[in-house]
Amino acid sequence: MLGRRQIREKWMLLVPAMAVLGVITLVPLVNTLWLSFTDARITAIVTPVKLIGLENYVYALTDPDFQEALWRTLYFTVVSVGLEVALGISIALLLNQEFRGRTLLRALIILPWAVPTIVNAVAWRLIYHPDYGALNSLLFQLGFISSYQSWIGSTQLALNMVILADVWKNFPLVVYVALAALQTVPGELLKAAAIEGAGPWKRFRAITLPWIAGPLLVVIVLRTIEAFRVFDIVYVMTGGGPADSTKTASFYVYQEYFNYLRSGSGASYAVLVAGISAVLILAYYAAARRQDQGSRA
Amino acid sequence: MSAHSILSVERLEKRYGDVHVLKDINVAMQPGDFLVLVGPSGCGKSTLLGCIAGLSDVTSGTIRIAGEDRTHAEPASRDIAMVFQSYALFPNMTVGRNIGFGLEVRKVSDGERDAKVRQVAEMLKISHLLERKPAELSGGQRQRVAMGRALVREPKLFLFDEPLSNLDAKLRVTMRTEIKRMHQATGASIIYVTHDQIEAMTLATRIVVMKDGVVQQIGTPKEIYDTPVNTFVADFMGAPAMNLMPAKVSRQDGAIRIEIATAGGQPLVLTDYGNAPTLLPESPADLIVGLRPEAMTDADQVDGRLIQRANCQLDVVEPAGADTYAVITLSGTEAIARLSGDATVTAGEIVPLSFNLSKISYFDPHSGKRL
Repeated sequence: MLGRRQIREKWMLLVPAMAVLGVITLVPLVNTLWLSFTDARITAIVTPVKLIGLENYVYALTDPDFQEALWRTLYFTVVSVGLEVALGISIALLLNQEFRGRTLLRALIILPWAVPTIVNAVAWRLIYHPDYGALNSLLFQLGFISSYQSWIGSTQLALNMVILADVWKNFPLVVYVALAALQTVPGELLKAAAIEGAGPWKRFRAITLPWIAGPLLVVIVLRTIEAFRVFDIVYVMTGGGPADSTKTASFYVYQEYFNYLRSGSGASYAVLVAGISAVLILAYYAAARRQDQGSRA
Repeated sequence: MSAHSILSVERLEKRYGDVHVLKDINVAMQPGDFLVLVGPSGCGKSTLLGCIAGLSDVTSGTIRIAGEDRTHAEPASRDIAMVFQSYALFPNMTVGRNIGFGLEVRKVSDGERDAKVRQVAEMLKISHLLERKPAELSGGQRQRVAMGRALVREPKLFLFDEPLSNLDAKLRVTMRTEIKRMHQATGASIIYVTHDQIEAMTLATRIVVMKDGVVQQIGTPKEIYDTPVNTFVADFMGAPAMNLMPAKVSRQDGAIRIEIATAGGQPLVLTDYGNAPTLLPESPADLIVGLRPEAMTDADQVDGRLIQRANCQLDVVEPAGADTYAVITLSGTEAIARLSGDATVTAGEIVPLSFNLSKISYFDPHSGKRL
């Protein structure tokens, strides 16, 4: 039981943090929720706001453009997080081996992640440039393409090229988390599996992967949240184009708010995007809990 | 080396850079042998086991398993099973899947695998644990699961790497008996690494004593205990250790005269009629004489030849239930005598002790080798 004084101390310590959280998180969240049920617009003159019930949501869910943007975002999230995890684990496995220069390589691998997203996006836009981009030059000189391509000017390619730039920036995070986890795998487990006859792939699937699954899940959740609300890299590289082919859900929300100035409708899109992110994260946790039940000694 | 050896290690060398870990190791074992590698920490016993398992490379030499050269073979193709000190159970798998993992890898059908896992689990009395995860088991249960995983594949050779050192003293004794029972029941060929000489004595059919990467002696527990080849083996095997006392030794009328200095000034003189004096150098020499504590007792049967009596002052008396240990200073070393449990002696007392010379050992004081 806490004494009166301890209760007072507890609240004295808690209140500042709660106040900050309330102002920067709770108030905007409640405000967004409220806005999503209104016909509010961003205007220079204050105009009366009317409650319109679920009208914004009905409109959003029946808007084919928004649905397409959602699917596009889901594709972006699944492919980029998938590639980051596959690439991250593979490189972590390599960096976990003993070889000369390992420490230097481990330090270098973090560099892409240290670059700000905007800088990364600008750099990749230059790499993809249809006239003097490095990618065109490389592929042309290697003989893979017969003429320079407009990588982010093509509706078929643009989204995948943005994904590539995103993967480049973010895979080092997965490498570092996976590498840290790999260093905790007990050597005797792998030796025991080898003696039992398990080859490298079976050892990885049956021993290593389950062991590092917990830390990996954390980074997967983090990356999924980030990928699902992707905005900045798209804004800088393609501006959502060409022909909306890279227009993600967050970009849609941004447009609705700040281009069309419909804050009520924009808020309903934002709530939907956040809701879908939450569902994705809950699904990960459910899967992880199933796998992790009593698994660690 | 015999053509029928289940394992033969010939001229094995292992180096880590400049460090010479294993030096000219030659060991052979017959099917059904329980071979224990024993020695102090850092003697190379676990490294030797790792080389036999294929978990570490050898620098030179040959390892044959069941007659076939397996020196550079992958662990999986050596037809061996191993029980690790940490048990190395796969934490994400149930006990049943842990035991059947080797069969799963070898793509044995589900039905056959289940049947074998159940059979082994029954033998080890862990059938009720098959659905549990290793984290839910006690130390002894994990130990059994690790043994089950080794047994289920019926490999040619079992390797045990200090499997009992993580258990408490009581459980260790129980599991030691279990392992011995398992060996008797299955007739498996086992190589067992331990630093505990009691485990070595109780389990082994043959013991390999190692020190600094060199095999000191290979023999049955009785050979190792009764006729150690040097002072290291004499001191390492047996608890309490063999008493190694500097003594003046000379030939005397077809017998050996032994003179051991005592703290009181009056030397302890014994005459060994059992060993030929030709064992010794012609002129009187300073040697190390070895007598086990149980050869220095308060027993009554004295025949004046094999068992002789002499008075000794007891420095410390340590009652240990079944026995009473008494410390005597002989030639500046603390020798231990093993008296009966109900001996009524006190420290400082001078008592007559019986010296049984039938198992006396003589060692060169410089090389430490047995004469």
